[in-house]
Amino acid sequence: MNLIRQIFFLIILISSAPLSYSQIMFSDRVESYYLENGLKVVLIEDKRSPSVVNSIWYKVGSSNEESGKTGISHVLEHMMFKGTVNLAPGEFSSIVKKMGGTENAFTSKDYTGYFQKIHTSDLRRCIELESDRMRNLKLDVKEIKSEIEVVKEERRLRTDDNPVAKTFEKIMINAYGMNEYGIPIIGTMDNLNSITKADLQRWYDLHYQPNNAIVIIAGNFNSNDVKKYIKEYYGSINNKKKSDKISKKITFTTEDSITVYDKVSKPIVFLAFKKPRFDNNKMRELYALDLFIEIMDGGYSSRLTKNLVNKKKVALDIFLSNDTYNQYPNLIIIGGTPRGDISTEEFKNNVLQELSLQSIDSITNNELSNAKARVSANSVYKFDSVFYQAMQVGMLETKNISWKNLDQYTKAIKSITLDEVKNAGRIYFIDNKTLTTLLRPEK
Amino acid sequence: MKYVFFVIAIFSTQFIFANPKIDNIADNNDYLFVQIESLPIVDINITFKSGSAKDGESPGLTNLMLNSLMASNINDNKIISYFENVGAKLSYSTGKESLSITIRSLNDVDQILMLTGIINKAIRTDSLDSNVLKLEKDKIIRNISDSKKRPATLLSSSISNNLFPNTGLSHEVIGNIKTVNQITSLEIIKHQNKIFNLQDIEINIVGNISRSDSKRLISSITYNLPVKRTLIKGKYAMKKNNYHTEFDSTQSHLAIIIPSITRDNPQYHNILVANYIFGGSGFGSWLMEEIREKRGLSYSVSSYLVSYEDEGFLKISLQTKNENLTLAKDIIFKQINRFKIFNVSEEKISTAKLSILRSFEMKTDTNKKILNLLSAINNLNLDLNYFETYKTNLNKVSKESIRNALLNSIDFNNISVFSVGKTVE
Repeated sequence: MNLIRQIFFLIILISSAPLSYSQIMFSDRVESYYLENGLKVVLIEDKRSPSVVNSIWYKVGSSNEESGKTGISHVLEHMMFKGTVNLAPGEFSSIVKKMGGTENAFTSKDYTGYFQKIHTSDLRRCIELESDRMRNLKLDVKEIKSEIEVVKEERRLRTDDNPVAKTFEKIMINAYGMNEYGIPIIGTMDNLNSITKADLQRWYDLHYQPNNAIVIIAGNFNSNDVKKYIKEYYGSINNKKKSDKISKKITFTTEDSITVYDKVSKPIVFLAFKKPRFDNNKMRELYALDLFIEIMDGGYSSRLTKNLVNKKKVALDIFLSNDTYNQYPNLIIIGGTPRGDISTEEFKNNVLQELSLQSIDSITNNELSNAKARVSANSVYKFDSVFYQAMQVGMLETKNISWKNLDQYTKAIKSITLDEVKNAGRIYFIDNKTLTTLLRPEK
Repeated sequence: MKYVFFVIAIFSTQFIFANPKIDNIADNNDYLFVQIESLPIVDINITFKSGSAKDGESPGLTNLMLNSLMASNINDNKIISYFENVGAKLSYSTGKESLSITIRSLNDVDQILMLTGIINKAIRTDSLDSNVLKLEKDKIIRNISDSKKRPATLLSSSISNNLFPNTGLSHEVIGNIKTVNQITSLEIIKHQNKIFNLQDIEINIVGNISRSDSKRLISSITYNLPVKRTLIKGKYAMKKNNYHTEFDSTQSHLAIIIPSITRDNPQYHNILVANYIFGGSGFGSWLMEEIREKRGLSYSVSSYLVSYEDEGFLKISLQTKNENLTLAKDIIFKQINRFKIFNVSEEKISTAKLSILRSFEMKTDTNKKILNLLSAINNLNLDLNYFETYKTNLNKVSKESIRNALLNSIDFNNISVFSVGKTVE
């Protein structure tokens, strides 16, 4: 076939063939490497628009904190906008704003992340700014005092005046104490009041260094230029001495059942099941668990809603929370509101019945196939947002799980069998203790 | 192998960035379409120009109607199951002046036609299952009860009640317990027949689909809908009012309302730039500087233009611990006086304009954002050259034009103040 005919043939193929959904993968657009100082770089190309997300992720979050200083990772995140030896407080944000960009930061149990979404022509400047605050943060006592007040307002807004969020906080503390995922990200009021400049400086020196960070750039950029900028601005940053201090485990007792009273109109029941940390050796089992959960509560037509809300009419609503890639033991939490005169006990028994051996054994291939269709379609939808692509990579890499798992996940899900799904259900819900929390209207 | 090549080509080719090209379908500006082939996704927004403001004597009617219809069965299966079984997404919501149904699906046209056909059947149904209605009522009544226990929703309700008394805007979208309890299936079907019609529908489609297939989707959604137009444009007389709701919370929630313009007013771009500097742009805005950055009084403070069919206002809002409410209020009023005078350098205005323009260019980086923009363009009857006219109008803004707009388009003499929280002596 001559070249022209080959090209013509290719054009015909391209224009007539529907896009294969399963072929959209991170590996088609991701390049990752390390600088000599240990900084990991992940570049995700997506040239649909002129925008690009510049982000940096530090492997530190509330799960690394110590009792007495909870909330320090989040306070430090706020202070990262309060100036460096080169920039005045607020100047970072002011520069991004002039670019027409958006920026923000977030702290989780496992990581602290910073990002700017900007025009591709402003990427170099943002890389420079982000590298500046990795090594040149200036902590000012007056600014710290003011910003801790802001964080306390954030706690009042998101937790103290929010009954469900406050209950989630209590559930995690009951399960894990002030250890790892039991530590509230925003910290306790008492601890926030006690955070000092020295504490923040220590936390910054311990965790904000190249070998504890990942730069993730997603969107429209020139790969060669970006690599040059990253080397130019981050390459000369040395690692500080990492502390080998291991935080002391706080002893605690887990109650099987707790009751909280707050401003709600009807009781809400939370049933929690402990789950071990993500383990590569148990990957298929954990992915099968994801499908089991999808079958139970992946949508409004899933089992829990279909059976408890629509058929039996014992629930007004049902929700389920689970994190696939938890680096410390975590909880799978199922919650909901009993309907009408249904008691909380009756509600709980009905949920547990849906998770019983008999119920698990009745899962059909059709249900599994529908669950897989949702997971598969979601794996395509997630590519609509450049920011979300960076988020997905960051959320794994900060837990030392490769971004490659994102593609493997989609592939693996397709091969999970009905038996594997049922087995995962048995392991995590039958052979597991239930922690019950009741949120009741205050007296 | 060919597919892999195609995907790689899409993500590695340097495109020339043009604004999304908006087309209408069938020469009808109520049906808008943007073709984007980079992902195998199609997003559809169906909007009817009727929201809770048209509830009449039954506050909560439109919301209960939409929730009940979407929770119904078609051919013995829940509507949502048709979507979830093929990995498609269905969402719906009622606003004060419109209601919308949104679909996201992979770009399998036959599959989408099946889904739009289901939606068409749902909005043309002539009966409602009493079990479905009872469940939706119970859910909404729980939400209404909970809304009375949260400062943010109490504040929103107080604003609606006191700012627009005796109009369609005076109640919240979810209605009140008494009226929701009384609504019957018959009333819902009657209301549905009134508001779901060809004259009041807007359809927006974005994604990897051809123009001709988009036309098929529109035909499927609008199949057999009545042609009549029965809705009258809203008339709301905004009343100045100050109201505090006593509530046992750790924070007070504050809203300050300044009467202003609607979105389609020619002064819009002047107010947009002025508000950007005042409180609409986060860090660096006057409100954020004075409230959060200098004094640590609030996690967030902002101002933005709220626009209804014939009334608009600037809404400033913040939350602060109860002890700081008076202080925060005083600071905001000082900033409002500064805003009124607007003694700002031309350079600051140019910087704001440039920032808004650059930000605007990046607002179309996802299909979902383009769909939202398209829905707004459709709803406000903006022209199809929206992206160009937006830039042209913004470029015309100057210090003088802003000052004129502030003088003529913002009513600083009729400011209303609403708060919820615990009074601290």
